Amino acid sequence: MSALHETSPSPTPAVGAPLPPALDAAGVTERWRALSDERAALDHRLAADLLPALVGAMRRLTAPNGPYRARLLDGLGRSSGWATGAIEEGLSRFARAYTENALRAAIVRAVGGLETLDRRGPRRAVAPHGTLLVLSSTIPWAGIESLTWALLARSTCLVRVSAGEPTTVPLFLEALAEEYPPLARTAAAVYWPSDDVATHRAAIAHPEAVIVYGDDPTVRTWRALAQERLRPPRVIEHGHRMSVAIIGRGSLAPGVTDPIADALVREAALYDRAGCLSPTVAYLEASGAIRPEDFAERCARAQARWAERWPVRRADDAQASLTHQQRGACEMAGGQVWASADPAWTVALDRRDPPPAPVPGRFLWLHQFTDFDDLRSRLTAWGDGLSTIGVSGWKARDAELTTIVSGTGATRVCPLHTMQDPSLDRFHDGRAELADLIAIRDWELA
Amino acid sequence: MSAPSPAELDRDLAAFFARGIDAPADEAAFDRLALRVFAWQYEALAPYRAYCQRRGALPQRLRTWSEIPAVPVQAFKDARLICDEDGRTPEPARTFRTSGTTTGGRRQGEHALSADALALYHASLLPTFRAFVLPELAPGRTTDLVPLVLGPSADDAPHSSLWHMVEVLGAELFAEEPRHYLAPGPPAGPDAAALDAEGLARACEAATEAGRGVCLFGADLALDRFLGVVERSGWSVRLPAGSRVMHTGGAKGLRRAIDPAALYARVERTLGVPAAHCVNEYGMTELTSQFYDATLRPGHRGAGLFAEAPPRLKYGPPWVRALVVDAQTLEPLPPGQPGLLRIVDLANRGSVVAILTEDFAIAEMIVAAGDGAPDAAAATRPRALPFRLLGRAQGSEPRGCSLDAEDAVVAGNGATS
Repeated sequence: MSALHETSPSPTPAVGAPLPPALDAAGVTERWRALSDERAALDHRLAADLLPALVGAMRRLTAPNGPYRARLLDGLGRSSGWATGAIEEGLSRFARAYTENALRAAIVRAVGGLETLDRRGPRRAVAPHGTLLVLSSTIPWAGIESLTWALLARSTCLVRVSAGEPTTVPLFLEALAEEYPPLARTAAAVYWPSDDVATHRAAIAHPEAVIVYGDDPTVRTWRALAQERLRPPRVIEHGHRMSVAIIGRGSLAPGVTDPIADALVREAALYDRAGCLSPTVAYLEASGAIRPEDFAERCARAQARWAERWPVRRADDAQASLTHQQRGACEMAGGQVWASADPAWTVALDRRDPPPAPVPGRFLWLHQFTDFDDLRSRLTAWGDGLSTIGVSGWKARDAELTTIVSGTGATRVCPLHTMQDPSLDRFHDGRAELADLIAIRDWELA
Repeated sequence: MSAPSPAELDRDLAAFFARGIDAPADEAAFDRLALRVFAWQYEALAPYRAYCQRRGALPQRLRTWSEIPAVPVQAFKDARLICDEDGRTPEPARTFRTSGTTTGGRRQGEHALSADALALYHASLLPTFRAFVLPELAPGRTTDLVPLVLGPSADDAPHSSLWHMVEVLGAELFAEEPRHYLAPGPPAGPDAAALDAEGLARACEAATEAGRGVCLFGADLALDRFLGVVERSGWSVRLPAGSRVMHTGGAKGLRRAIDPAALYARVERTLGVPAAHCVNEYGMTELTSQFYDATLRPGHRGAGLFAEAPPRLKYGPPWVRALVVDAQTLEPLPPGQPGLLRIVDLANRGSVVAILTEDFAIAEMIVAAGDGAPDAAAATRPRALPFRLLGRAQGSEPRGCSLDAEDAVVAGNGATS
C-alpha cells in the first residue's frame, strides 16, 4: 500500500503553519469512540437550528479585525505561500456564498428540503455513522463545504487535515464551538503523517463514508483501503480535475478585450492555479477581431499586474523545470511565449494538437480554435478530467455551446469571471455531495 | 561568423574526437567547435533559429559554448529536430524515441539521425564506452568478455537508442555476438514479454565454467528483476574476474525506485561482480554521447577497490560539456550547487548541440594534487566538470531506459508491481 501523496499548495513554504499533534492508530480509534458518544446530542435538533450555528462560525472566521481571520490569514499564508491579498479575496468570495439562504437552497436542491435531514417527512435521510474526511491542501474552503454537509446530515466527522493546510478546518471548528458546542463536538480535526498506513487503516475502520480530496494516487490509496473492509464504506472522491475558458469573438473585439484578459488572468492567479476551477487553457475564437497574439500580449500585461498585486509563490525546482521545458517546447513547435524571467508566470500561445499537459502555477495556455468542431474536439480531449468551462463573448449562441459541451466531461459552464465562485452545492465532479452522502428512506406511514 | 558546411564540420569533429578520451580538456578548441556547430545549426534548423533569435543569441554574438541556447528535451516531442543538409532535410537513417509514457495522446520524443549523424553517434560511442567500461582493451582489438544483454535486440526495439548502442558495441568491441534475455516492451499482452532469467543464469554458468568473463548490459529495473528471480531460487554464481555490469536507467518516476548501492550489493552477492565493476551509464535519446562512472578508469579518483558510493561522479568524453544551471533562472551555478543539467554535445551535430534536461545534478570541481584551491573566477567559469546525478524532477514524466524494462517486466509473468 502506497503512502498518501500530500498535494501541498506551497512547494517551498517559508514556515509551515502549526500542525495538530500527530495521532497514531490507537489515538484515531479513541477519537472515533469519543465522537460517537457525542452524536446522540444532536438527534433531536433541527437542521434549521444547525444552519445559523454553521453560518455564525463562518462569520466569526471572516469577521474583519476578528481573531479568527487574523489567525486564518497568518496560517494559510505560512502554509500555502499565497499572497495575503489573494487569500483575502478567496475568503471573501467563499464567505459571500456561505449564507443561510444559500445552504437552505442547496439542501432543497440536493435532498428536497430540511425535513429530509430532520427525518420528519416522507423522505428521511439515512446518514452515515461517521464520515472520514481526508483533505488535501489545495483550496482551503473545500473541506469546510464537505464538513458542512456531513454535520447537517448528523454524521460525526473525523477530518484528517493535510500537512500543507492544517489551518482552516481546525479554526472553523473552534469558531463553531463558540456558536454551538454540541455540534462542534461531533467533529474533530486531526493529523497523522501521510506514510502512517496503520493509522490510515484505523481511521477507515469505523466510518460509513469517506470523502477524499487529493491527487490520483491519494484517491487510489483510500479507495483501496476502503475495499479492505468487509463492508466497505461509501467513498466520495474528489480527485484531480482542471478547467478551461472559452473566449468567443464577442470578447475579442476592440475596446472589450482588456477586461476579459484581466478576468481570465485573475481567475488563474487567485490560488496560483492550484485549484480545479482555475483556467488552465483559454480557447480563442479565430473569427475574433483581436488577433490571438494581441490577446496574449494583453494577458501577459495582466499577468504582470496581478503578479504585482498578488505576488506569485515561488515555484519549487520541479515546477520551475517543467515551466522552462514547456515554454521552450512551445516555442520550438512554432508557438509564442510571454513570460516573466523566472518561472512565476507564463502566457503561451500554442498551436499543437493535442495540446500540451497543464503546467502548475500561473502558466496559461492559449489556443485558437477555428470552428465549433475544432473546439469540441479540443474540449473532448480532456476527457473526464474537465471540470468547469468559463465562457466569455458568447452571447446568443447558447444552442451552439450546448452542442459543443455535450460530448465533454465538463460539469459546469459559467461566466469567465465567476469560474472560482461555484455555488455551494456543486462540487467539481458535478454532483451534490449531500445527496451522495446520505441514503433516503421513504416513509409512507401517515 | 559564416556557417561551415556539414562535411567540414564532420571532418573537424572527427579530428577532435580522434584526440581521444584522455586528451586534456582543451576549452578553446571546444569553444571554437561548439560555436561552429551552433552557427551551422542556426542556419540549418528553422525552429531553432527562431528560438535563438527570440533570445538574441545570434551566432556572431556568442563567445562561448555555455551561451548556446539549450533546447528543452520536451521539444523533441513536437518538433522534428533534424538539420537540413545541402538545403534539404535528410532522410533519417535511424529515429530513436524516448521511452516516456505518452500524455494525453502526445507523441514520444524523437531524435532522428541522418546517416552522417549516425556515424558521429558511433564515433562518439565507441571510444567512450571502451574508455569507461573496457579500459584494458587495446585500440583495434575486441574483448573476449561474453556480452549478455538484459534487453531486446535492436531489431526487436528499432527505436531504442540503448539497444542500438549495445548492438553497435557488440559488433565493434566484442568478439562474440550479444545474447538477449529480455523481450521488448511494452508487450501486447501478459505473455508476450518475459524475462528469460533461467537462460541468463545458464549463460552465466557456462561462461564461468569456460573461465570467460561476462559483460552484462541492462536497465536497472530489469537487473533488479533478474536478481529478484534468481535470489528467490537461491541461485548464485561467481563470474570470473574481470566480469562487469553496465547498467543504466533512472529511478525517478518509476513504479519502483532502485537503490543503486543495494543493487551493487546484490550483484556482488549473486554474480560475484564487485561494485567497482558495475558501471552506470547516463545517456538520453536526445543526446548522441554518453556519460559513465569512472570506477574502471585507471588513475581516476573513485576507481578500483575504493569505488565511490552512489551517486557517483559521471564523466563524459572531451567533446561533451555538462553545465548545472539554476532551475529558476537557468543561470549557470558554481560547482557544488544542485540544479538542472544542461548538456552541450558536439556529436549532436545533426540536431541541436545544447540540450536542457529535466535531470538534477551537482557539478564537482576536481582539483589535482598541487593545483591549490581554485580561485573564485575558476570556480564559476563553465568548463569540463563531472557531475553527480540527483535524479529527475518530481512531476516529470517517467522516462528513460528503465521504463522500457519496467513495461516488459511489469506486464510479463511474475509482475513486480
